[in-house]
Amino acid sequence: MELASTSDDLELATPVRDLSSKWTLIPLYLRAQPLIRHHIASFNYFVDKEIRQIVRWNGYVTSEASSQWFLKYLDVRVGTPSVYEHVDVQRALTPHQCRTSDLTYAAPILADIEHYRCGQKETVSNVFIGYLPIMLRSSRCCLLRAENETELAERFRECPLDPGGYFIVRGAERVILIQEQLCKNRMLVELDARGDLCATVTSSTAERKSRTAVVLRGERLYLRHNTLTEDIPIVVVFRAMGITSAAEMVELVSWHAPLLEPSLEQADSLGVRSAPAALCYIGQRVRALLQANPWRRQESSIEQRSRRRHGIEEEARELLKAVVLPHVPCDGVDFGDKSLYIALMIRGVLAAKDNPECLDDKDYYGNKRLELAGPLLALLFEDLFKKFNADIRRHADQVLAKPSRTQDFDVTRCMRSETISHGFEHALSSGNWALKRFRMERQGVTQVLSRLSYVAVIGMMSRISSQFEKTRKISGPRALQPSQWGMLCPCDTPEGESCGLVKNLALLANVTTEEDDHALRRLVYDLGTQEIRALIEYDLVCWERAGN
Amino acid sequence: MHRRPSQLAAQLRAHRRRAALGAFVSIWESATPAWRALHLATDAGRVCRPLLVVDTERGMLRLQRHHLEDLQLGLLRWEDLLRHGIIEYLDPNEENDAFIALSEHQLHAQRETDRKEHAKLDYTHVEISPEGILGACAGLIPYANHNQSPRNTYQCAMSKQAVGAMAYNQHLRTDALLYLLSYPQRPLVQTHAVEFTHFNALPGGQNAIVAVMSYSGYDIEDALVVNRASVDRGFGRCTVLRKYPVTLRAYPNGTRDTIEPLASTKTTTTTSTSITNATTGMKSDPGRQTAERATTAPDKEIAAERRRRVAEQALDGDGIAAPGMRLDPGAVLVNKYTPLETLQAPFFGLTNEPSDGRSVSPRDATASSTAGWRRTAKRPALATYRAPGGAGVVDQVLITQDQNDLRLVKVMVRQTRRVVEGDKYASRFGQKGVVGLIPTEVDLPWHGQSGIRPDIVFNPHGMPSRMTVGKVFELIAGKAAALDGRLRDATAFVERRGLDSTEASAEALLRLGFAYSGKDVLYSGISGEPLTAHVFCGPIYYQRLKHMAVDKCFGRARGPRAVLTRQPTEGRSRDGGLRLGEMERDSLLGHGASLLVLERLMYSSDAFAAFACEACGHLGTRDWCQLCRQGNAMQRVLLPYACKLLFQELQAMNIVTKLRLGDAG
Repeated sequence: MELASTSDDLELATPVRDLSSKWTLIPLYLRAQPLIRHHIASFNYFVDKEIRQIVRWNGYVTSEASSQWFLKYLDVRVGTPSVYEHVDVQRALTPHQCRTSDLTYAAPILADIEHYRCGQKETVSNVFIGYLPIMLRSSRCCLLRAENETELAERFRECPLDPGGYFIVRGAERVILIQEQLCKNRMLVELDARGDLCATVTSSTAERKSRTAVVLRGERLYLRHNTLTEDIPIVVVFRAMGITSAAEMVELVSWHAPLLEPSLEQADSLGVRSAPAALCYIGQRVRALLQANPWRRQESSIEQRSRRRHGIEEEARELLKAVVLPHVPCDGVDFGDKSLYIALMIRGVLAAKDNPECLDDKDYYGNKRLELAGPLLALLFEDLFKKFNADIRRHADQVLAKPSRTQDFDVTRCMRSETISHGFEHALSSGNWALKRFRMERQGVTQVLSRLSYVAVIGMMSRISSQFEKTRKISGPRALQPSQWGMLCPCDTPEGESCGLVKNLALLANVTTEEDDHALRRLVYDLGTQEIRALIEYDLVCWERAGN
Repeated sequence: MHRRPSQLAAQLRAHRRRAALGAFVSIWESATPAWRALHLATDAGRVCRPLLVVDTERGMLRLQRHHLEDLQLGLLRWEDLLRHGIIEYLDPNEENDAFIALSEHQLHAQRETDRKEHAKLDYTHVEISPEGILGACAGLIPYANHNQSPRNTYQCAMSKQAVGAMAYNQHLRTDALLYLLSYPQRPLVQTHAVEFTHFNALPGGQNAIVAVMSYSGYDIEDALVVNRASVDRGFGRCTVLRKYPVTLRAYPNGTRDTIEPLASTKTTTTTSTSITNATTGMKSDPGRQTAERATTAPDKEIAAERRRRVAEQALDGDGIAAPGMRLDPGAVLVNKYTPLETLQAPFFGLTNEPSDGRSVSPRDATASSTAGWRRTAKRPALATYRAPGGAGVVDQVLITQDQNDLRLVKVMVRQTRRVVEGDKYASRFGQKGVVGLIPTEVDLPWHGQSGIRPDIVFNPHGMPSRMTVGKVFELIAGKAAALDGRLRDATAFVERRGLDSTEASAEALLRLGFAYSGKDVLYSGISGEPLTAHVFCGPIYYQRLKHMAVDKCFGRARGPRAVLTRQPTEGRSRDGGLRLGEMERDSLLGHGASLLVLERLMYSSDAFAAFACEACGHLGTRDWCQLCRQGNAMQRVLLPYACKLLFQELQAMNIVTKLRLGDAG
C-alpha cells in the first residue's frame, strides 16, 4: 500500500507533457460512447431522420382510374415498442417480455396522411402502416426510460450491463452484422480485367445503382457502362453532353493535353462532330432492355412511348442524364457537372498512365464503408414502403375503376400493414436481405446473438463481415492493411476460410452516421471557394497562353 | 475552386475543432496529384477514431493534466474535449494528412531535437493509448504484446466460447441453451480492457493454481491434469440451462392441444399406460389388462413400471413439470394431448367448448359411437426430457402466450456439471487442452512453503513452440497478486512501472518468502520426497470452454437403422453408432481377424437372410426362383442388406449378378 501511494505522488509530480494516465480517457470515452454505439447511432438516425426522408421521397400515390384520388404522406414517426391488442388499445412491450413470450420487440410506424375522400381532401393523422422492430437501447427503446440501473433491473428485468444494439424477433435476439463494402460514389483508378487502366465509379442514389468507367484502351479513352453495348469514345460522350469543341474538352481535362490527342482524332474519324450526331451514335448502342424498375412500371412505359416519339437521340440523352453517373445531378439538359466529373475521371486515368503510384488500392480502408443496421433497414424499408404503396395503388385502381360503388373509397381501410411488418420480421429472422430495386440478394445479414458469455456478446456486436466470397483464394482483401491501424483489431479474426474477411472493430473506432452537409457547403463557400464553372472561361485563356 | 486549398483545409479543421462543424466530417487533401482536390466527407459508414490534438505552435498536447482530473471528477465531459479541440476524430483518409505520434514521449523527444535545430514541429496528433488499436476480445489478453501473434488470434476466437457469467438477468432469461460457470472469478492479472468490457462484473473463467510440470503421462498433447479435490470444491463447475418449449396449437376445426393433469391415484394404472403406450390403454378394457399383466413376464412389467415412474416423476397437478423436481431421461415435462381430428368439425360440443380438460377414457369411448369418439379423442403428444449428461432439474416453468395468442409453455431444465475427463480448457494465450486425468489430491505434488496443491498441472512442452511469454509473466504477476492482494495490470503495449512490472512482482515474491523466479520446491504426492526440479507454479486464469465431453460422447448397442440400407444410423443426434471405417477394416484384415470383420461389418450391421437359387445364382423367395420358374434349389444365404440392395440396383440397370453358392463349412 505504501508503495502504491508513493507512486501516485510521483505521477502527480511529473510535468504536464508526461501523461501516463491518459489511457483513462478510454473508459471515459466508452462511458460517453458505449461499445455498441455505432449500431445504436445508425439505428437512431434511421428512425429519427432517414425514415422521414424515405417517406417524403416515395410519399405520393395516384391512381390511373381516377385523376382526383391521391394519397400523400405528410409525416411519419415511430412510436415506442408496443402491440395493438385491439384497434385502439396498445400494450407496451419490454425486451424481457418479448424474449420470454417469443414476441417481436417492435414499434408501430405511424403516418399522417392526406387523401381524397368524399369529394374533398381529408387529413388523417397517426395511421398505422406497420411494425418496425426496435433496436434495444436505441432512442425508441423503453429501456431508455429507466432512470438508473436498479430500475432497469427491477422494472424491466434487464441486465444493466447489456449493451443493446440487437433486435428481438419472435423471441430470438438477432444482430445485424456490420457489412463492409467498397465506397460508393467514389472514383477508383485501377486495372480492369483486361489490364487496361480505368477509373470506375459505382454510383448509388435512392433511385438506382450503376457502375461507370472511363477506360484507357491503347491510347484512346472510352466510357464504359453496362447499359451500353460497347465502349463509347470519350469525345463522343463529351459531344453528346454539348461540349463540341476539342479546345473545350482539353480545357475541361486540363492535364497533359497531348495524351488526349489520339482520342480527339478518333471522334473525327468516326465522323461524329455535333451533339445530335453523338447522341445518335450513343443511342444506337443502348442495350435494348434497359434496367426496368419494378416499382415504376407505369413511368417506364411512358418513357418508352416518349422514346418512340423522340427517337434514339432522346433515349441517349435520357441515358446520359439518369443512368450514367446518376449521383452527379443533372439539371434539365445541363450536363456541366457531369462532364466535369468525367473530365476528372479522365484526369485520374491519365495521371496513372504516367505514374503507377496513382493507382488506387481497393483494400485501403479509406475506400471502405461499413453498412450498419440503420442503412440496411433503410434500404429494406424503402423497398417495403414502395411495395406497400404499390398494393394501395393496385387496390385503388380496382375499386375506383368500378362504375358505381356502394361506399366511397377510403384508403385507410385498405392499408395492409402486414407488408411492412412481415417484411421486417422475415428479413431479420432469416437474415435474407432481398431488395427488388437493386436486385440485391444478401444472405446471412443477421445472426442469432451468441449468449455464451458477455465477451461473446460484445465480440459479436463489433464483428464486421465482408462482401467478398469466402471461397476465393485472394490474399489482398484478407491481409491486414496499414490503414486499419486503430480502426480494426489486428488480432481478432477467425481461422479458416473466412480468415481476414471477418474482422472486428477496435475499442476506440467509431462508425459515422450521415451528417447534414448544408452547413458545410455554405461554410466552404464562405471561406472563399468559388464555383468551378465560373472560372472556365478564364482557365481556357490561361491554357491557350501556356500552349503558345 | 479555391486558391489555397491547404489553407481552406486548415480553416475547416479549425471550425470542426470548435464544433462549428460535425465532429465526424472528414477533410483531406487528395493524395493523387492529378485531382488537386480537397475532399470533404459527411457520408455514413466511415470508420474513424479519436486522437489527441497537438498544438503545433507550442509542440504540446492540447490535453493537459487538469483536463484529466476534471474528467475524473465529472467536471468535464467527453463532448467538451471535442468542443475544445483537445480531441478529434480522424478517418483513414484524413489520417494520411496527419502525423501521429505513438506516445507523448515521441513528441517530447522531437521537441528536444527541434529546439536545437529550430525546425518546425511535425506531429499533429498523438494516440490516446496504444492499446486502443485492439478490439474488445484482444484487449482482454494480458501481455498480448509478448505473445506470438497467432496465439492472440486463437485466444480471440476462444474467449467467445468461454463459459462464464453472461448477464445479471441470466437466471430470468429463457435461452435455448445457456452455459454458466457456477463460481466465476475475476482475473488476478487484468488489463485496462477488463474494465471496458465489464469483465470483472461478468467474468468468464477462474484463477487456477498451475504447476508447470509433467505428471502421469495423461498430459501429453496439451492435456491437463486437474485436481479432483479442486473439482469437488467447485472448480470449473458449470450450470447448463436448456429450454423445452411447448406450444399449444389451435386447429382449423376449433379444437386445441390441451395439457391434462395426471388422473387421481385411483385410475393411475390406466392413465399411466396411456402415457407410455397410449394405444393399448385406449383399446383394451382395464380388467383384461390386469389379467394380461399377471401372465406377462415380471421383468417386462417391472421395466414398464419403472418407465412409468420416471415419466411421472416431475409432473405437477397441472400436468406440467414442477420447478425443483428431478428429471431423468424419459420424464414427461408437459403432459400434452393433441386432438385426433383437426380438420372436420366434431359431432358435438367441441367448437363451443374446445376442451373440458379431460382425456377420453376407454369407457367414454365405448359409450359414444366410434366416429364421435374419434372426433373427440386425443392422442398424447408428450414433451419428454432428453438431454446429454443425464438427469436434470426443472429450473423454472413459464406459461405465456406467443405472437399468435397461442399458449406457450417453456420449461427450463438445469444441469450442474462437474469437470470430467475430456472437457476443454484454455488459458488466455490460445493454449487449449482437454482434461486428461483427474487424480485424487493426495497424489498431486504440494508446494513446500504453503502446502498448496495445484488445481491444474500443465505440461511444459506446451510452452517452447507456442512462445506465449505472456503466460509466464501472468503466472509471476498472478502469484504476486494472490500473495499481496493487489491485482496486477498487464495491458498490452503499456510501459509498466511500479508494482505492475514483472520485476516488481518477482521482488514481491521474494519479499513474501517465495522464489524470485517463481519456481518453488514441490514435494511428490506419491513418494513424499521433494521433486528434483524446482517447479514454476502460480495462478493462471483459465477459461472453461463450452465443448464438454458429456455433450459429445456417444455409443450404442441397439438402436435405429437407416431405412434404405438397414445399416445403423450415424451421428450422435440420431443415436447412431461409431463407424468402423475403411482404414479400420484394412487394419483388421491385415491382422487376419476375418471373423471380427464379419461380425462388425455384417452381423452387427445389416445382416440379411436372402434366398438364392443354386441353379442360376439369382436371389429369389424362400421357395421360388423367378428366373428358373421353379423353387427346389433355393438356399438360405446370409449377406449384408447393402449387398442385396446393390444386386437389385444393378438388376435395374440390366446387369446380372450371380451368386455361386458353396459350403459355408
